[in-house]
Amino acid sequence: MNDTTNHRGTSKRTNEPIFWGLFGVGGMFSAICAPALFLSLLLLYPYFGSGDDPALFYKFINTFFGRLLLALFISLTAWYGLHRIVHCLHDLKAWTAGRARLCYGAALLITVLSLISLFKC
Amino acid sequence: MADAKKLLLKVQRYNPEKDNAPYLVPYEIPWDDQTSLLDGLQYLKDCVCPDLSFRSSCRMAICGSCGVMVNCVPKLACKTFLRNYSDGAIVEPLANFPVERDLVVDLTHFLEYIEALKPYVIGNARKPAEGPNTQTPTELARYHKFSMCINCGLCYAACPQFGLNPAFLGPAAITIGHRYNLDSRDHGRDERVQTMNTKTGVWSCTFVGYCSEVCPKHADPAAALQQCKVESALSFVTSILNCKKNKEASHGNKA
Amino acid sequence: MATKRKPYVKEIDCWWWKSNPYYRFYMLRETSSVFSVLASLFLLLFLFSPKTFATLVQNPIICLLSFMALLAAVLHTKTWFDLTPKALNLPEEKLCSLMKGLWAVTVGFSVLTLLLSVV
Repeated sequence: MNDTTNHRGTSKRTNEPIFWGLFGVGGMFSAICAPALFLSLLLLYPYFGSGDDPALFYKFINTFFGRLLLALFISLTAWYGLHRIVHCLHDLKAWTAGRARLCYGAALLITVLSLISLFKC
Repeated sequence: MADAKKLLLKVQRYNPEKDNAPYLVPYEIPWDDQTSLLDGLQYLKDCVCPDLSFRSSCRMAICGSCGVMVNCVPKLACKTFLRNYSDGAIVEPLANFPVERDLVVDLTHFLEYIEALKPYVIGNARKPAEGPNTQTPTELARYHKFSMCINCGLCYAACPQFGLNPAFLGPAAITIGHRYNLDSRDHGRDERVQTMNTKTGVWSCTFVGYCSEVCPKHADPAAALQQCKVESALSFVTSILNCKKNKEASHGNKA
Repeated sequence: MATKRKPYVKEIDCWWWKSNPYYRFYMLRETSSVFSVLASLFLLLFLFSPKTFATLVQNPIICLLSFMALLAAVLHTKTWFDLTPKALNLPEEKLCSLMKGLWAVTVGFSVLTLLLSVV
């Protein structure tokens, strides 16, 4: 990824639309679900979710569909967030070599792990 | 003018024949409610320092010549009034461009990029004898906002991505290209998107949005760029479906 | 005659965003996604082991990070919906109803989730 080549030298299409597409879908998914999911699962869970008789939402999130929703949310949020981090590192002139491969690799890893988790437990 | 109110304008000076780097020089400018920054600069050139260089022409925010940074914000000098800067201001040449002399910058990149995106109607075989092209108000509304651009370059001075990488085609050029792509009379989209849908085209933009904020004509370049990304992404999907993903998009540019 | 041009090019350093409030907010918008990624990692742990997750989220540092992630998520929702209409070349009325719809879905999902989380 050479950022300083003239546009005439880089007239080939990039793969950017793939990552931007995932960023777009993830960003939208996150915008709709993230505030409620973070509040419910990260802050209210110890009080309403981990006892013997958890609240309805925590029962739902433990069903297959609940877990599927959560797995989708996790992987898409990772794609959206890490895409922003890639561009942010570019803006900060930091970590030039391999930052895209590393970040998108991490997002892919999170996706694979969250899919695996659907079939475990 | 002797008893007029005065304010302090710090103007960036740079003489390539003498100076190694630009520096600020304070000047006192007489002003009233109707004095524009351009009037102030003209006063300096007429009465204080005849060697001060700046560009200007129409004095009414349509030629797009007099862009400068005022307190680090890109502005047209003719559309900026000194009454809003009664505590003084710092005037510098447009950011992100090489400085030729004083407030004059080298716009070569900017002009080349506009030219590269073919800002004219392409592939319309209609002859004058056949009468004018018709266009409905709805068709006009699709691109009208983007046709407001006056090529002043303020959006380039506002764009950190252009600052970080001058190979980026930048806000105005892509907005103008998009304006013709959306025009129902034009058939040149394929020629333009090959240049636009590249890493240094629309994909260098990270939607900072400051370009739209500073645009003196509210042409909304940030919106044009995002719409181009959507179109680029859609055509990417289509070309995968057509198994043409790796087709070179270098039409006309291959040396 | 040799040219006397000597264009001055100002170097941009990595702190270019510090001096302008508009750039600072852009940086906040972009960097806050770090918290979203962190939070999604915590949630990944939930999928594997809800019990470990339950003890983890009670840790004060994790709790603080979760709270930051919540703030980041709210900021993201607001900025994302502010920017979405720009990417679509639609007539004003259509955009308006689309955005109302998106906000309605978001508020609906949030209220439902939070209600069901406490009963």
